[in-house]
Amino acid sequence: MFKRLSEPKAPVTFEFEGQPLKGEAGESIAAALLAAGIIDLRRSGEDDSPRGPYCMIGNCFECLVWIEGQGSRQACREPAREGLKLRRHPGRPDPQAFGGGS
Amino acid sequence: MIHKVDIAIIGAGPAGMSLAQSLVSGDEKTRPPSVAVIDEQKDGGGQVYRAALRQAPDLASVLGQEYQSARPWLQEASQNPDIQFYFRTSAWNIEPREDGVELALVSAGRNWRLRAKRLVLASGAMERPTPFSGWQTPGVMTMGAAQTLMKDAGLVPDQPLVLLGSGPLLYLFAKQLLQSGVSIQAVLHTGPRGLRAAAWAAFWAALPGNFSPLGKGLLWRMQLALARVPQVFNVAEVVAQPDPQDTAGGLGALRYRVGGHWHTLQTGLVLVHDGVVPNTHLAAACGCSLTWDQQQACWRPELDETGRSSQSQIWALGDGARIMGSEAARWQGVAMAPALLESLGYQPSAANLARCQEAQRRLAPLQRLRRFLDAQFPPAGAFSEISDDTQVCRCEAISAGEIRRIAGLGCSGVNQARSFTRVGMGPCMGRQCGASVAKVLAGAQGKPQSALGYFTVRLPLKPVTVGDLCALEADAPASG
Repeated sequence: MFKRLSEPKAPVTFEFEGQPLKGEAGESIAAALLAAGIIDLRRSGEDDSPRGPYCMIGNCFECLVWIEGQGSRQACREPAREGLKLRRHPGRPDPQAFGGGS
Repeated sequence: MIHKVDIAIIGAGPAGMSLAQSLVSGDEKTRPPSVAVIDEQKDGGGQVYRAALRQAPDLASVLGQEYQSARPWLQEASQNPDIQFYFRTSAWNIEPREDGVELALVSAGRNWRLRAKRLVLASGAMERPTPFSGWQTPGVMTMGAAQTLMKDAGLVPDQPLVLLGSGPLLYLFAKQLLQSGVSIQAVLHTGPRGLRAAAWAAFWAALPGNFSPLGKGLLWRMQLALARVPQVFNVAEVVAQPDPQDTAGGLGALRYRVGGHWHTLQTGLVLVHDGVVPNTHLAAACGCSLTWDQQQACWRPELDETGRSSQSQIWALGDGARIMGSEAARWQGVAMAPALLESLGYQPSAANLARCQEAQRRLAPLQRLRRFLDAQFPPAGAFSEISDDTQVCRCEAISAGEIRRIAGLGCSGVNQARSFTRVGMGPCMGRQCGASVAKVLAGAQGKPQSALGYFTVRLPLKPVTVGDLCALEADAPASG
């Protein structure tokens, strides 16, 4: 969906749903995921429909993901870092996921 | 010890940065007030000059001269040792007090408090929400979002895309996309091809002193035409449809109506824009009175001529106060400094007063330019008729049809609509849906939109963890 105009100068590797992906250190997690071709970052808690980044400036809360076991984090506002473990935000709370980790 | 400053500014965009710089650059003899600037981004510039301080030269030419020219003065302000900067910092509570305000802030997991005698909201604009059927489908994003990806991460769309909506940003961003080698499949304008009848008088009035911005606008329009991008005008209705084969549920097609005829575009990416509105979330949270701006069809904080809100210790400026654009925001920062200093008992320097006068002079043509832009690009077409199946509240998945149903039950305003349906009670806390809910209620009940009110804002203003709350520290982190 999106491509990089230039190769990352400070590449980092992180995981989304167990899949290793590459990004640029410091760019937003949402940007890194979009560059990796992932657009559905969460499921709606109401109708379970897929949702993805919409406003990219912290207003719409559509880009919520799980970061290192913590839910409801805005992917557009959190920087990509080496070794981050991310998960798609579930629609309905998943009791097992509340154990933390990923 | 709770950290204390004279003036706290929320927002390091053109308004906040220029105000901070003006406040601390009085004459040499007097001690400047202590000023703290808070922003969620990692450096100054706001949305308009996002990443201008660290932009790679290869992208700078695409983003344009005006964007690049902000770098020197942003840099100068950023390095001013008399300003305390707290970046990557969110305000999750603002408590007005008799002698000022107390802010609860979270910076990289550190939770701390700041007391200020004056709080200035320079919270900028957000894109006007554009509800239409299927707009929650991944692959539908705002133009501002795509521009943020370009500025911040050097990302551009790698597939043909559709631009939908109206406003100066549409033309600017189309130019930037074409310059980056992106293929634009079509531009769907919600407005007419030429100038609106109501905009001609404002156009002639705006012309003196605004040759440069108006000329740039015309040039962008011409570039789009020369690129032979198919353009459609007066789009009255749109429907985004997910691709049934895509497991990610991404966009497959965009249907649109012009007059009585429906057309379909196969596309995976639609970028939407319908102008910008003040981001009033913080002002509302502080209990500042908001007023309905008929010309710009949005709420804005009610301010006196110096920029003081109904809460005397809280001031506001820039696009968060009223949409005037980035250049005006910068001059407003210069113009506000003397009155703000005086309110704290500081004597503004002669230099400060002279700069304030210059700023007032510079703001006059920008006001005329804005009147033209407001007349030419009103919210219209596809986003003004909200169909029953449109999710006005994306978080809680509440449709316009449901809002019309409760309108019929006598729902008296947006806050009561919350109790009826949970509209505006999801993670975005009503930032996206407040105005749309009011618009649908107003339409159904035959009332003016302003009569339906705006959402009461509740704490916390941003998500904080219980762990963060428990770790509340009094000391400020190191500024910078």
